[in-house]
Amino acid sequence: MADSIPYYSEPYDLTNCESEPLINIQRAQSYGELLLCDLNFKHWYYASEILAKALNTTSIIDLVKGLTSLDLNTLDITSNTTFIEGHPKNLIIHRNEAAYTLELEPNAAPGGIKLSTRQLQQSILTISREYSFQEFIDKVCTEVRNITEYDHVMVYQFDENYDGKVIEEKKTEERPTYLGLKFPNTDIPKQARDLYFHEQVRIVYDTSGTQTDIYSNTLIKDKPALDLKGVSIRGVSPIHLEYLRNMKVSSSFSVAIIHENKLWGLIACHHTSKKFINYEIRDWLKFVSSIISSNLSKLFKYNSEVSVGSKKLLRKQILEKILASKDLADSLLNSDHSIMNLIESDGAILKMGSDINCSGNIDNDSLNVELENLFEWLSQQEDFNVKVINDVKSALPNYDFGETIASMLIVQLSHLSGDYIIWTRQEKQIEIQWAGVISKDKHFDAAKNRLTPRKSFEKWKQLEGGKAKEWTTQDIEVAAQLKREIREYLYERYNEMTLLNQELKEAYEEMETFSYSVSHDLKAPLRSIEGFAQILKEDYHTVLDEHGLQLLNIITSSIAKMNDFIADILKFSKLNRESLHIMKVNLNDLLDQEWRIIKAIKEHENAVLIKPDLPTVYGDVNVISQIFANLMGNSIKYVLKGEHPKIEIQYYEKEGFLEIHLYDNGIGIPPQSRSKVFEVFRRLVSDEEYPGTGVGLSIVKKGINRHGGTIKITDGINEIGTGFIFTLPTNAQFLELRKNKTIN
Amino acid sequence: MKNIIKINSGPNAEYPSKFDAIFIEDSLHEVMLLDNLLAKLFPALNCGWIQNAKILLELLKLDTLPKSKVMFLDIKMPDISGLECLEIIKSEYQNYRTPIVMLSSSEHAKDMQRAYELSCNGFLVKDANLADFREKMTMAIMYWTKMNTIK
Repeated sequence: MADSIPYYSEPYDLTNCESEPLINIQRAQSYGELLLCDLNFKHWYYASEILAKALNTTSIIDLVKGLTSLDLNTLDITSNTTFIEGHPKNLIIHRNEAAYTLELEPNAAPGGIKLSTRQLQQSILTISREYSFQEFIDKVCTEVRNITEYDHVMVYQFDENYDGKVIEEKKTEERPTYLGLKFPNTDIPKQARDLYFHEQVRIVYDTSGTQTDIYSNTLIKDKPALDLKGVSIRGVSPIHLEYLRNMKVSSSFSVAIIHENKLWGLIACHHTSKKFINYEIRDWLKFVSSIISSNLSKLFKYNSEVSVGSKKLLRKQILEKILASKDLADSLLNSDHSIMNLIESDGAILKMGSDINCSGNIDNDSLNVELENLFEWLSQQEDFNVKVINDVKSALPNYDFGETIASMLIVQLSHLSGDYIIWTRQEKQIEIQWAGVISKDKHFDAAKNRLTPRKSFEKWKQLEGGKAKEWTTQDIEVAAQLKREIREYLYERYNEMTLLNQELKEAYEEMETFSYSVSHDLKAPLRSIEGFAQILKEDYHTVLDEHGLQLLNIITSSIAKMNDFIADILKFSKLNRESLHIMKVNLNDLLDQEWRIIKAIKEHENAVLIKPDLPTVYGDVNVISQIFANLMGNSIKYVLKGEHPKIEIQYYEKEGFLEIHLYDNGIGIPPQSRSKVFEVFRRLVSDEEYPGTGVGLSIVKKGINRHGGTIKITDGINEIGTGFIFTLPTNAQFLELRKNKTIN
Repeated sequence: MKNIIKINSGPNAEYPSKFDAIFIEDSLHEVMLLDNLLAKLFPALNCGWIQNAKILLELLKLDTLPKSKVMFLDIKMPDISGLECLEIIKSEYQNYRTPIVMLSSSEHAKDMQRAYELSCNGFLVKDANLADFREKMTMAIMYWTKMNTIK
């Protein structure tokens, strides 16, 4: 005799309402019949209502033959699942160690479809072609709708929380559109999602709720438990049925899309009247499921390859920019190919040495203290390549970056010097369009003793804020790659530099030999010429006439000029190659000393110097003396006929350096010629008017540049004369920094 | 040459055994300038001239180098330079106690440094014009031959 068995094989009530035991539903769907029996077809264990009744009078073998015209005795049942086409019903036999499970389902009717193998093959070919991701999803949707003829076919994609978003749909005009809407993960609870790994396709034939009871054969005491995993006809959750009814769906069909062992998404098919999908088409859809899964891998790989490829190109361009630029920070942050193009971000911070540079939405001035603390904190961290801080507020609670920095991606360029690149993202308000109002309250219906799903699927907008978009593995990989390439680049630069240094050293040595020879080998014959010309004048003036003596004078004055040239060239070249001896220099004493030397010459006794007490600077005392000697010497030399030379010195203290102004009342330098006078041997006046070598100001400029300073020319006293404005360091550290930055 | 006697090495060389100053100088022109200077300012001074470092070292080796109150050693000389020569004298002839004053036409810092390392007694830079050079040499010769005492 037979007993009806309960809906669930285990209790399901208010206590576990959120985890409805789907797999234990002990009902069969109304489209067919179900039978469990022993492996000899002798005794039945469980059966759907009609069969249970029939089995009172008929044997299993006769019953199946009557419904399908198939002879069980002649069937070869070796595999787990066997499908046999019969008339009027098809038979699916599942085999395990203890029992056969037989599903009897319509061949094609009622409302069903039957397709030719050719049609199915054609569909497979269509979706297997090469497409972009969107094209592929579109084609899949179209083909599934063509084959199933369902009113509404959708492709859902799950996010990390298994909220599903409709990314593609094909439908009749009457069906509401769900494209772009999100369905919360509670719509397809975890236990339902897990089942998709066993059953890639799932049909819900009739949402009206009519499901067939299953009877247990009471005559057999020792029988296996009812296990309907993998059995298509297994009954459906009443909550899910109500959910589908609320959507005005009569038949539903879904295909799992599995990607990298995760449920990536679903193809959900809805039909407003009852429509059966038979085994063959279900089997085809399983095949489609696996094609989609394998194609996704290929598409994602292709997409990320395209993306990685273009990022690689960008990285190459960035590195080329760096190569072309002398300012690494500037080119990383401000060029057309900045690091912000490399990784999607709202801001970027670059710390190199003691410089912090920002771009994007980050304002260095307002965040200065926070950033310095951040870098201090980073320098205390363990050595790392890339660090991700996705939620800055909770990870760094002591910092206040406001809304500008909600997450960070940090690359450590050098732990030793504490150099970092940081990409930042700000808080983003994300609008989510849900299918229906999503509330946290569960609707437990006491009368039905279960949860009830929501009634409306109208678009409902929700804003989510307070967080930034998370960094992807690809972002992190790109950051790490950039670090590697910068390091490689720097290493190459280092090698080039070493080589250049070597060449420079050799060039210096050559230069040294050269100047050594100049001083000895050029000077010696000059000494002879000059010496013997003098001796001629002294010892033979009686045998020479006036003209002869004049000629001798020309010889000696020419030699004097040549000696001046040689002396100045040697000074200039010495300034280029010899290292500075940096020390504290009392500028006041130095100036007084130079002035005394100038005043010691009789022609200069009318010269006037007006100066305040000058502070201390840092530098090479000999070079600085030379600078002032040359500048003041020029002021005294290039004076208007009849004028008394006058020099005024002023100074302004700036951060790290002194700005010195030196004005005179001399002949002045016209503005258009002011840049020329620093060139070696460049003179603006003739030798007859004002003798000179044209090297003095070159020495001045070189000397100031070597101290990391600058010099420019302005007007002198009362708009006549010349003014020099130049800088000298007042702190040794500053000098080091400026020296490295000054080119030439 | 009016005032300077050339000192040669070799068996037939003839020269006084004692001088006020000896100049080691390869350039004949330099010696002529010196000779002119000495003739005008120090006509009574006995000065000797050795043309290169090689001859000087030979004389030292044979112990036939005439005595002098000072030796002026030019830096820039072919083959054995003044500095090399100074090094040999200081390392191999420690009994030779005559003050050695280096002469150079340049202020090359390295040369000066090296010369003082090798315990030269002075370093004179030959001025570019004769007047300055004369002034310098007059004072130097006065000092080393008249004021300075050696034993």
